[in-house]
Amino acid sequence: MDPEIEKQLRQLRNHIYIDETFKQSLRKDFLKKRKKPIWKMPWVAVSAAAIVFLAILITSFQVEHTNASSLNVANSISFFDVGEGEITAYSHYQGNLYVSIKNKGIYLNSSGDFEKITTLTADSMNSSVNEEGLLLTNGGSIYILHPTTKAAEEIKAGSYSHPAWKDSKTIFAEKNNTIVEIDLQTLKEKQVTEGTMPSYIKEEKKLVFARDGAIILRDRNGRETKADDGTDPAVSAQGGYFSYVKEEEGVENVWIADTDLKTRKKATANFVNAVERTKGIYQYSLPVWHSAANSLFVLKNNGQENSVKLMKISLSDKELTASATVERFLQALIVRDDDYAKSMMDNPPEFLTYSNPYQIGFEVLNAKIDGDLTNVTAKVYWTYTANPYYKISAYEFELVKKEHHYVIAKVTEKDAKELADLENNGVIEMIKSDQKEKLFSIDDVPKEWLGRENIRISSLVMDPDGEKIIFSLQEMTERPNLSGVTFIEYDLSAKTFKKLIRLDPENSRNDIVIRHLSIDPSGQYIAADLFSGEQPEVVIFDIKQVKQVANMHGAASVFWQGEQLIIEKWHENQSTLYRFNPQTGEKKYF
Amino acid sequence: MLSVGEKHLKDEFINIYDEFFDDVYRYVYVKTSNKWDTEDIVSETFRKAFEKWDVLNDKTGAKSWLLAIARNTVIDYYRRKKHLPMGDDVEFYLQSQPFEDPFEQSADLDCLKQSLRHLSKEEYEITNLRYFAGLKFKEMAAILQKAEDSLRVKANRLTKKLGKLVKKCLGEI
Repeated sequence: MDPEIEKQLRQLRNHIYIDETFKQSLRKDFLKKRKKPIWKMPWVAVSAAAIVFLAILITSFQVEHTNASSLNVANSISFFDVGEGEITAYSHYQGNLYVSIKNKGIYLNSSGDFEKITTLTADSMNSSVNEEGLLLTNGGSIYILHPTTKAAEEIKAGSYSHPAWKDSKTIFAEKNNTIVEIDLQTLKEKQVTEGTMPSYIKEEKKLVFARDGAIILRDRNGRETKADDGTDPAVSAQGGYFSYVKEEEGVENVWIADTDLKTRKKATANFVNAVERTKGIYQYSLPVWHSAANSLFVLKNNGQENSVKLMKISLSDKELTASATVERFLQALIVRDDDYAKSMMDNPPEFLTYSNPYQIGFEVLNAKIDGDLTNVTAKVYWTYTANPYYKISAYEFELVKKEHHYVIAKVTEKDAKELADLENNGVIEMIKSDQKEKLFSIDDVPKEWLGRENIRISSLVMDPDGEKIIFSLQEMTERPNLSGVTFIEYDLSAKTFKKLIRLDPENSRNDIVIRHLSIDPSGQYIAADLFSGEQPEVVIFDIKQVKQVANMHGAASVFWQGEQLIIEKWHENQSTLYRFNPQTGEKKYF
Repeated sequence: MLSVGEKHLKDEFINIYDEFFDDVYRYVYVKTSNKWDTEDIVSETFRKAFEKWDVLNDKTGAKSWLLAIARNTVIDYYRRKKHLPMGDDVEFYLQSQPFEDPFEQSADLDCLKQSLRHLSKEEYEITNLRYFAGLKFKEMAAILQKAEDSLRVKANRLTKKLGKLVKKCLGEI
């Protein structure tokens, strides 16, 4: 035997920390051996009632903490497309999202604007809540970004990254794979431990960080506990949870855990890449917590060029209903969050999303419980880029209740109605159950509305009552700046046409080309997506009052979610999603 | 009220729980490298042991009996996780997990920890049972169903192998 090695092995043994709380708690279980069921003892019933009363009394005065394992994903949506840019760091601070883009600067995404607040970029940012400001590093120096003045103040030069507030006078930072504590008044620093990416839990005075592919918690006495394998740890705003990215057999997922290490839960549902079997469909990085809500942001990449997106994962202690599960599923299909869509399916297919035709809206109609299954009926609306095509499909989703959530076991298309120019000759037909019915042709449209010879029927929609069709007349001219679009309503029973509105070419809007039309579930508003020049544009009309109610430049409509339209807005190379309510004009960002 | 016999058995069980909990915990932790899995497995190990305690005839062999239950529980636990391979591969997966030393440590210990990754499946298991669970060779022989002398020889070889690996890691050879 090698005595030195034996000695070291025994030393190593003593370094494995035994969780005494767990040890004592389990021990108590074995001490409670009972001869008869406890609820049959009369005194127990009285005590139990008293305990329930006390529990209600106590919890009503306490902020309730839900275990990480009891949190459900209420929604996941990729709402920020990084495009050709590269996010170097980001943080959610005092209700706003701050994003640093390489070679550009730091942008503030709040109340509808994507505003550049400084040309300074950040290599790392902190996500802990502190009124003193947002900590960031650039080229190894630590800065405080003051949210009101938007000025960045350098506080210490060096080779630092991932700064995190300890209190208003002290910060932690990473320096050469070591975590240091810096006194902001004296700027003196002391080494805390080896590790990277520190995050501080003020309430419990614990430091969470990464070391050699593991997530470590260090308490105030310097006692360290390995929580799990993983990288990129981040503590939630209220300090009850931390998140991290963990790879298992090449497949990465985002996990959340209680800071007391009681429970943990996977917050994403990545799948093995079918081509490269050694990795997942997506790679996740830098999970960051929302500054107020139980929501997480995470960068998501499907490995293709310019495919990085920022996804928001909303967590809740409430379970999603079967209807809400179907709504989230359809939303995930439309915005191409295949990971989230697949997490709601029993046997997900390899590919879910397609380019054309594509969905532009949906409506969940009803839910019925049938034994172990819940059947949800939903209508899905489809279109085809710059073509007279519209489809209304009625689907039946069969859902099975699993632990705290529903899973879609089967989807059946029960009914479908299509509007299309099948022969490409200007004749619009309705196709239902393989039966074709001619509705109208371009020759039936009053000649005075056609104006030009070179004109065709383009995108169209059917109103929710199935009584009217709103279609577009696309002008095509070789002369510049002269192509417009006219919107016309066709009454199916009266077989009459009504001119709604014409969008004229003008200086700010060259050669208008319609991309698609969509209609809200009430049938009052239509959204027209246009290309005019280089800018995409969305124009929203109130078709009952025949007037334009909104016009968004550099934007595209994505789908109708109830009476709100989800809009994608471009800011140079990036784009963000927001909800727009045409009735109130209100914009709500994710 | 418990009968005298029941109380005696329970007291005995609590005694072995107190005596061997740390060894079982460390053995499982080295296998899983994960606090949550460790706690699930340790709970299940002691629950199984509690149920069978009254039928264990030779209470003097309680430690190796507990470690044998822990060993089987670890394997069952990971077999239940569908994404893991079955059979011997489960053991390979388990032994390939380097456990995390939660304390600051010397370069020697750091190198030793890294060197453990280079042990074979069998060597790693012997190391775990001998040095982290603190078993005697006789107890290990019962669990691994191998001759005691053979285990002594293997332990001798593996400590020398680790010694060389540590020196290499430290740049001494």
